[in-house]
Amino acid sequence: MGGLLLGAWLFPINLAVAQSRVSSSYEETLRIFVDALLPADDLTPAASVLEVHTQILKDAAQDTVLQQLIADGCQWLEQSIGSLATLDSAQLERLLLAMSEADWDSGPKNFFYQIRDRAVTYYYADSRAWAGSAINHPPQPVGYPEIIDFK
Amino acid sequence: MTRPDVIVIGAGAGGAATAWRLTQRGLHVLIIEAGPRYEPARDYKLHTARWELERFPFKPGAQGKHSFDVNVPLAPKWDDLHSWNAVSGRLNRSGERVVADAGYHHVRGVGGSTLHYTGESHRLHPKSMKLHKDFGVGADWPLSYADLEPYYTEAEKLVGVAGSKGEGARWRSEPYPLPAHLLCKASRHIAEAAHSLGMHWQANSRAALSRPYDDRPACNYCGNCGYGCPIGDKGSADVTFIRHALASGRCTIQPDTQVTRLMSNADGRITGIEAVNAQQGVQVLEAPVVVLAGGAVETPRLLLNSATSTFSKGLANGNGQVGRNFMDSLIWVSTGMVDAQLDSYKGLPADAICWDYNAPDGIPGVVGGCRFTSATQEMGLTGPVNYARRIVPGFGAKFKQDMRSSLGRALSVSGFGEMLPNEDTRIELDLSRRDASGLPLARIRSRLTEQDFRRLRFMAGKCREILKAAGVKTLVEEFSTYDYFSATHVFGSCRMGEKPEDSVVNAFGRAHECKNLYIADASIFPSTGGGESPSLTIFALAIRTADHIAQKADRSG
Repeated sequence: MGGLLLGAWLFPINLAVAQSRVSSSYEETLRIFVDALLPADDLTPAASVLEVHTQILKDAAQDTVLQQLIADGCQWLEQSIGSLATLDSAQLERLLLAMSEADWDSGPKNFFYQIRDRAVTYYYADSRAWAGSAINHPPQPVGYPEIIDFK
Repeated sequence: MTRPDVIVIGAGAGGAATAWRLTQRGLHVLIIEAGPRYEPARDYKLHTARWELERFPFKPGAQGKHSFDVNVPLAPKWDDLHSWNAVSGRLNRSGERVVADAGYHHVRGVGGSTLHYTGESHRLHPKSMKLHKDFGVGADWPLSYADLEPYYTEAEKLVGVAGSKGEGARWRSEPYPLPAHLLCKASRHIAEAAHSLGMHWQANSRAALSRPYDDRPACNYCGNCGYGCPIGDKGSADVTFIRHALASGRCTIQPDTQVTRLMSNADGRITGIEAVNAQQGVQVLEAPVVVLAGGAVETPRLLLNSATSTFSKGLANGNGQVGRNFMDSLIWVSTGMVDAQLDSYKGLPADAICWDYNAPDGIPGVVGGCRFTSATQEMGLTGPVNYARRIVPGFGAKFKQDMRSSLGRALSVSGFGEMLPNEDTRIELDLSRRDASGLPLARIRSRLTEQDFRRLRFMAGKCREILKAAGVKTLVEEFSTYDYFSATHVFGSCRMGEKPEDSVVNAFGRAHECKNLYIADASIFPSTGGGESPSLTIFALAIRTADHIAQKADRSG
């Protein structure tokens, strides 16, 4: 699967074309992608349950660079891999690992990095992601007055 | 208000302290502030799940626009000083120094940049005021530590500074008004590790209340001073100087109002100020005395934009010094992970400090010192979003497990160093970029020198050494102003001095060329100090300037 990442995108995507295709196909690809980044576990839900992918798409509606990145990335994934829904979890993990280890100049790396950055931001800005963590409430109004106690 | 005795331009540290003292002395003051008011309990977002996204909430008008000239090729010789983190690797791949985020990190508003400051309250090292006399570099202050000391004491009392007994060369006539904060667990760990290296760390002096004071509550150690304090324990200028100035009945504030020009006559006297806001349009306001407190970027900008046929190079700028001698911030931060759970997201940011290398001769081989601080909370490592974005790499189930095990184990140590003025670092007008009123923006031009790089390398070495002694096996992030322009502290662009030929204002902040114009912000600092945060010195100078204005007003009847 690593060979598929060589050369990054094959063709630039026309933005007008991307806009007409940004809805269901890309949304589903993005949903599967963010759930692979942040899957459900015993304590916390998968990213898509917290609507992480739709928040990223909302950002893209205001940001043409992000919109282009999503269009390029999703189209490359669909052309190279087919539907992400056909991959099992181990295959998805190998795909994401290959993308994360690609050159910084490559489309797959840039897509992985940008989507991961936004995904973890929206995920961990939701209190439903905090179960089992040391930080399980916002800093105020309680603060941490106990931290200066000597024990 | 009928015609005020003094118009103060800017409601940040300097403007607020000036206004307070003038009202105490019986004068009537009008403050014109370009930015908005903030209501702490309503506007700050630390009670919400999205507090890390919201950060400090910049309301409309709360940030000025600037242009930058900082992009110079990075010298390979110093490449070990580049910024990086565990998630992104090298952060700046351009090969040039670039601007980080907004670059000049400030707030416009009632309270100014104190609204988002950490609140470190430092007196300047006395030796930093005589750099030229003692070390042959930079410029001397036209006043001494002894001249300023009583005003430091006044400012500390008004703000409610909590500090420990002594800070070496910075002698005190009175103790701090409040006892020092006890260190949080992570900072105790840093201090103990540094002690094993022969370094002396102590409680930092902080504008955060260690007990209730002046109708404000004690700090609850939430760790996020930089995002705005919703409970009012942080001594920002709005809840301290401004609050008391307004309570006097002799102060009025006009927020959301931009001063566009200082009007002057052929003798250089300010005859009025031109200001604009959405409600009243353009107004001309008059007072016998004007105090300019816009900060080291906007103060010179306003002077340069107030040129006349008599003062063709800008007001108070016959000698070409306005905008020159600008100095910004020299910063290094290292972050690593320890095995122990230190709850490092909890506690007062920058609660521990080391002054061992702060004197101008404190760092071997360079002039200009530095200080080291516990920095985990200041670096924003107080919540999961910042951990995930910056220092915990990976994805999937393992990443989520790593996140749970990592929170609270990050440890950061920062160094803040002296910058000396140089010919190439200054504030100028950018004639190609203008604001909504058509006025040229300030262009911030910054260049680092060999001495700056050597100070950065010294700070990097010490930070890494301390973290290693603290048990850090893996560094996860380093940030440096080697490859980023990132300035919270800015100074020097209208410096004070005895000689009118190489300074803009005198020892009381009065412009040499404009007898009724004073400046009360860090643009008048002839030196930065060895990393000291400038707010307390700004407060002290402003109070001293206000006393001078009031005395002159008394004498003139």
